[in-house]
Amino acid sequence: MTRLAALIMIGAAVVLLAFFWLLKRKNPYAGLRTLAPFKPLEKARLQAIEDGSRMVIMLGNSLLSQEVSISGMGGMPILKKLADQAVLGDHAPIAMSGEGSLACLSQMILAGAYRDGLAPELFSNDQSQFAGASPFAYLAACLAEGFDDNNSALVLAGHFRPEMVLLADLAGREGLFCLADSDAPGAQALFYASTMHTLIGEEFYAGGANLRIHPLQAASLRTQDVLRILIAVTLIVGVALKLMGII
Amino acid sequence: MKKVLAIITAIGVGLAVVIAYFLRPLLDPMLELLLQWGIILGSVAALVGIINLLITHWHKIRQKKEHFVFSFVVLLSFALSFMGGIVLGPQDETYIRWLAALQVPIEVSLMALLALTLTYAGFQFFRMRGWTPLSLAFGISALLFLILDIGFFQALELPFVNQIIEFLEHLPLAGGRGILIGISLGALLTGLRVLFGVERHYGE
Repeated sequence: MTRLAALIMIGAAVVLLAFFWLLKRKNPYAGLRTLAPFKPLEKARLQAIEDGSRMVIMLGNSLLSQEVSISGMGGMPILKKLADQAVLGDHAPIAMSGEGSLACLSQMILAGAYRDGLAPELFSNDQSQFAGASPFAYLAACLAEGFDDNNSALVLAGHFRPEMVLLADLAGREGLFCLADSDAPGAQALFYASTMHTLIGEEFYAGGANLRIHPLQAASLRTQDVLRILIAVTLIVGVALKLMGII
Repeated sequence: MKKVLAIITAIGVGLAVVIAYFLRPLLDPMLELLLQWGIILGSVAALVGIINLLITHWHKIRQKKEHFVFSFVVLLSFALSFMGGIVLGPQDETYIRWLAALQVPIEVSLMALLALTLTYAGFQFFRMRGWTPLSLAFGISALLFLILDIGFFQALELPFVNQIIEFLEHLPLAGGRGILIGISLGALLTGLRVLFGVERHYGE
């Protein structure tokens, strides 16, 4: 039964994804819901290029570690976009990963950004750091890197444990811009209480669409929204039927 | 050509794992084999990550960057724990006790700092967010559940109060499930994009 439900869900997602992609092929981002924190992020990015400061992107510690999870991929579109545009800046952006495979991926993204920007010689391996294998080691390394005087923005995008709120607090005290984006509900609640620019719930996976990385990501966001509404309606109808004693 | 081959391999393996999941237990041996390969690749990536960590800190020391002393501490601690693991073995009780004696106090200190930070964030919350409906709901619910968690009202054992508390304690579960449904949908669609070969920011 669980497998059947999963199959139906995957099938519905594929059909809707194809539908929205074909429907909005000419103008994929028209009418797409925009998320408030991405506007200040854009401003912070431009500011970093303007004043020659540095952005630090924390990608969390989950992809192939203790729990295999795709949540580590959530921060990749943001890293890609910021890296593409920061090639021109005085200080290269730094990516901090808490897991080996994430560190490899982030290094490939950063190297690719410099290659695309026709300046591969400017890329240094130190820009993509494996910060620590355990959550606390990762936090300690991120705190040390976050204190650098050249920083102007911290972007937290990935799977984080609640203690990463210390970084958001540090950003607040140092007057740095901070975007906090996590798939873990506990971390989301703490980020909401400690920083202005927070993404909640499914918004974690909406970065790619809002930053206009690929048209399929816009279709993906629309599919997500429709499926969420369908699930909510199904749940409400189910509860009503149960109350009436029909099921 | 190399790039295309890598993409085809990634998509092929991804599809094989999905199909194997739906055709269990028939394709269990294949699923197990693919997952084992995944674990091996993950371990190799972790090794690459550790080498990257050491090189980064070595560069910081060599270039005498700001706070390079911390990098020296990282390298020294790594060398000591690595040597300890090699000489005594990673399962050795003395070795584990030594590591724990260093690691646990640091982690506890960070937790204590976290508690202080959260208290401070609680005080700053309305000044930062303003009195919006969302911030009000967040503040009231945080306060309500802090009070409920003390257990005072439950200890009174009043019939109606206990029922109300029970109802209130279910609310975060419902909200949490709502958030998790949204996140799961996002994860599903990200997975599909990976399978379609779109989500490869690292391969362009």
